[in-house]
Amino acid sequence: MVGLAPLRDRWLVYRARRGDPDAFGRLVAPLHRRLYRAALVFVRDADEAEDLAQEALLKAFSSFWRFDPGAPLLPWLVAIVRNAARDRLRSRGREEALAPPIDADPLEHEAEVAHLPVPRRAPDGYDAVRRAEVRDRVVAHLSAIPEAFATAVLLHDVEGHSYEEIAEATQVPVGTVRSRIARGREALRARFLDDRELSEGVLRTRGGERR
Amino acid sequence: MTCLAHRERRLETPQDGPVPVEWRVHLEHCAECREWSLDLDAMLDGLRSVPVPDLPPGFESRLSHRLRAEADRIRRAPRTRARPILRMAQAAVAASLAALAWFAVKPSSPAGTCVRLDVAVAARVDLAGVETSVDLPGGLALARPDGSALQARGLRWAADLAAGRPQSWSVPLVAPGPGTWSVRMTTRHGSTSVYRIVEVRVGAGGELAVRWEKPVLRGAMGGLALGPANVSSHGG
Repeated sequence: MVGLAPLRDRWLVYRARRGDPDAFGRLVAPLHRRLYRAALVFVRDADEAEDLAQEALLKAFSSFWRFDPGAPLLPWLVAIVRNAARDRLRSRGREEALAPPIDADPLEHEAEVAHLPVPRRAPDGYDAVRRAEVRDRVVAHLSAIPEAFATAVLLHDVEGHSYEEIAEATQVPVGTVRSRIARGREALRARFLDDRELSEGVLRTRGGERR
Repeated sequence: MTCLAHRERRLETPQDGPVPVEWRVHLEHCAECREWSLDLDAMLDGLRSVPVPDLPPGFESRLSHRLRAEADRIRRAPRTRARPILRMAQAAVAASLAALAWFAVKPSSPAGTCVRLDVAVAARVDLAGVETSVDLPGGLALARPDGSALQARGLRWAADLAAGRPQSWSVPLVAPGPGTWSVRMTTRHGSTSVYRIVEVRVGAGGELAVRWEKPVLRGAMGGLALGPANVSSHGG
């Protein structure tokens, strides 16, 4: 969680709200890499993610007078990144090829997620190898789930923000945030499971060929 | 409780919140949910440990350059940035103009009378979650035809745009005399607007119509009509 250090950051917020680009730059500098990571989730491509993160920071700068200084800054910025990404995709007419927009009815996905098959293999515990596999794939899988779910999971499970902070930044009720996180987690769990079953299937096939 | 209901509750549990006791009890008896839980925990661990990527080379300098360019653009076009604020401010100024004009056209107005204006500004701006205010550090400066001036300082007009409620604004001013008047408004963004009252009409029912212009644009900008209930005056 990123809070604003009491005195220096309040001064920077004051200056930034009055249009001082240096003050704004100092305020957001510690968040650049995490904002870039969020942009990668939404657009996948590294070059486009940089451009998207910068575009979002410019928008944040020009509308910084809307920011509530008492709230954490990162969720507000991530919400701007998400909206900018959505605008880009809309302008290219690519929505249908990617994840559903934030306005999509979550219940449509609920049914899909709730009836995912339960694994039938024997439990073998989870170890460092499994965690590393999951970590390596997490950005790719976050990109593939509905953006409303990805935003909520990113801000809570990756960045550690509370449900209330996310609700404020994304302008939805806390109950909606809770629901999006639950559905996002389940969608991600199912995708990781697909990954592992696929890789295990490939290994089994290769083993059989060797024999 | 079914497996699905147990899982739903587990999925809604905050990252740093306690895992429901019922869930732990359920896991002792349900092998499928134990397996499901292991996968979920592995996924949550993965989310917590996802690395923060390095920025592309030159990211900071490119951003700094773009921010300065954006700041210049905003400075050159302050109206664009402050348009909703100025729109609301114009409504407030229009209301004060009406109050002044109302007083000016009353032949029995004694010098030194204060005008108190409580006008519900009808303008509404659809910007959810925006809270803003208009500061007039220079106040409203009233320029008389003979060159003298009156000023009302320290005016601050605040609006909760999210609520979209009509706003009230009170303007205590020393009464002007008849003549041609102008009002200068300076916002906190440094922009200044000058309005000149060009026509005041009082209807048979006591309603007031004011037309004003902005001299810098050499054209009438608009007008305002107020009923007598909106404007009141009292001695001061």
